Amino acid sequence: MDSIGENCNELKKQYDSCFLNWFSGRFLKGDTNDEVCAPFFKVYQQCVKVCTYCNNLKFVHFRDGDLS
Amino acid sequence: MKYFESTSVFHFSWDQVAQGFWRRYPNPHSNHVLSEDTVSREIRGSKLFTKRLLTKTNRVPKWGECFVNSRTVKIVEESVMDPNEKILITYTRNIGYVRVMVISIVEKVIYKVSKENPNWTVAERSAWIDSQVFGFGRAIQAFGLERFRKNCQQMVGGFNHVLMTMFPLTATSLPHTTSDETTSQLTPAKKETLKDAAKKATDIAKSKAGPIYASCQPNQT
Repeated sequence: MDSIGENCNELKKQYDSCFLNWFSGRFLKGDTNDEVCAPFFKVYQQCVKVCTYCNNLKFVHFRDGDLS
Repeated sequence: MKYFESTSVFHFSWDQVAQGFWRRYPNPHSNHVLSEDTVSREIRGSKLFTKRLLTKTNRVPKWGECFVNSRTVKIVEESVMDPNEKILITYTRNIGYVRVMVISIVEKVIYKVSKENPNWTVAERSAWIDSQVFGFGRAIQAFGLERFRKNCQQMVGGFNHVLMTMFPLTATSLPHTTSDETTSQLTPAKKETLKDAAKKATDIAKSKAGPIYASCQPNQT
């Protein structure tokens, strides 16, 4: 599924792939350490944050911490 | 404020549904979903807390267009996943238009292991639909009920499609009343007119008070 920012698609794919592997392989088996995907998440998030403003989401009222 | 409930059963295990939950989009029943992003995710204790932002096309009937002039709607989905208790709770709400408050739809779904069969998952869905637009309240809420029903069928159909693709071995053991029938029930929606919505509003008003149970199984009317 596409990201809200076209140029974030690749970063999203990398993060999603890491997360899905971790989710089935570790989380569902009881391992709650999610550090392995943190670097992917960080860069993906930076991209999305920039894109939400590009897409005029400043008119949208997120709750505190929605995009923190 | 209108409150609705419905229940559906997925013939997949909770673990399978939990995995499928993150991969629901895209699917053949989700053409209206334009984007999906994870905006926050963290582990607290042993539970996984996630927030996702979705954008969808705004399928507003003609009479609603004077209030809503955006082509897309933003939706926030918050979820809590407990892999030990095998419970997934999701809250979905539309954001934007806070001042106008044309229509606010909040949905909560609880996915848990079926009591009937430990290899199945039950989804208990509730929705709160409210509108502040004076005079249009009933028509909008009737429209909301219709939208809820349609969403519900699409949600179940779409999620089932994804689960069948991910877990084909489980899918082959399903009774044959699934994918094909699901698709055939999703006939193209006829245009919602104000007259239709108003009639539904009258019907709702006439029916007894209390929560409305909307059928969500694709093979029921």
